[in-house]
Amino acid sequence: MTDQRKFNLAMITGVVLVATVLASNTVLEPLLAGLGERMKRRSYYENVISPKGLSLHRGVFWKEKRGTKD
Amino acid sequence: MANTVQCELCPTECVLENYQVGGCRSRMNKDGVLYSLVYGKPCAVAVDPIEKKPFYHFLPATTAFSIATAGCVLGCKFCQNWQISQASPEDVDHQDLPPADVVRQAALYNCRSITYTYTEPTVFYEYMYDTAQLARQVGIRNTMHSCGYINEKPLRQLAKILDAADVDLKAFTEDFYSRICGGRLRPVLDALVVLRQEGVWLEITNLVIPTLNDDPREMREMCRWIVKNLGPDVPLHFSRFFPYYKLKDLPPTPLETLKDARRIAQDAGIRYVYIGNIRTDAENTTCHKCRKLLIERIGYFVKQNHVAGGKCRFCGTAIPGVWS
Repeated sequence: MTDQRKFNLAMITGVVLVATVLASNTVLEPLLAGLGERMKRRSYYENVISPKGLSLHRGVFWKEKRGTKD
Repeated sequence: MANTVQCELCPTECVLENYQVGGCRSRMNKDGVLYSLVYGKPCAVAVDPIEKKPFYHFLPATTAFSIATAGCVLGCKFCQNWQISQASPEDVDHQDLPPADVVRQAALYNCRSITYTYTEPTVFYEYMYDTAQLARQVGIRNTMHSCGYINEKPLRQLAKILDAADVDLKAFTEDFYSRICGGRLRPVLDALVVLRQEGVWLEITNLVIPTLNDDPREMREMCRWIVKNLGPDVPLHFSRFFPYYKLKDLPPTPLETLKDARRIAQDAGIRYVYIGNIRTDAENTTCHKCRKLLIERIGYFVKQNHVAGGKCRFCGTAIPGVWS
């Protein structure tokens, strides 16, 4: 293996490593954190709120933002 | 984010993600649909004298079937009902009482009105609205005791079937509302004007808290605003504070402070000013023209009433209020 090839390999490995770390910090971690929060909220609803026999009566609301309904 | 909804009921206008519960603790987004968790699930049900709300110019000496669910749109540090208003619905005991049963029970107990009270009725808007509609059909009146922290659209809709409202005007500075209540003053003032415009009988309660909202200048400003924007006939109740919840380090309001507040309000032109939560003769109603005693009260009970056909029995002056 020539020095040039070794250098190229090191460069590519470095770029991939930096890209992976950046992607993890900017995309993956918030996504996982959001997912964790959602799972926590859902679990709270299913294990605490729902068994208490509270109503799920459709609320009057006038605005819906960003998203789908039903 | 998909399935996000925004509640438009109160000025906080919570944006809720899936399975998230609003700041009021009683409204929730589930799969992109906003739900009320407290519809037909009151945590407090009682038959009270209407004077307890307090309404002093609305069907005196009658009883009000009173209901509340858990939750509140504000987080006042002095809340006198914090055990239920600052609790989540899943944390308090509740009963199943659909609107039709509320009306049936109100009739059974000979209540002339149903009052949505104790916590903040805005949080159980749908329940209150449906109950009020049914009550109207059988001639039972609807009243609420509210902090007035509600958006214009839902309030105007509600006002069509509401007969009277007692609104807590907690102070007259944005700073107080922000620091002590977690809300804003402006929407409350707007709500008061809307209620007046819609012809709902209105009374105002101001809980006087030592060092926090007992500045005479602020009180004068508040009273002038009331006279200018709502008129001199809106009864104003200065209520005595007792140390509760997160304000246990303050003393109860001295009687002198309440008397001063009453004097300021009368000087500003408000005709009917009362002192509550303490026994004084400022619980009584006197005719604003001839100054004769019209309604004598002892606590929540009416000892004598000289308002006949909405008029002073002595001089014939029309007394503002709903009397029959």
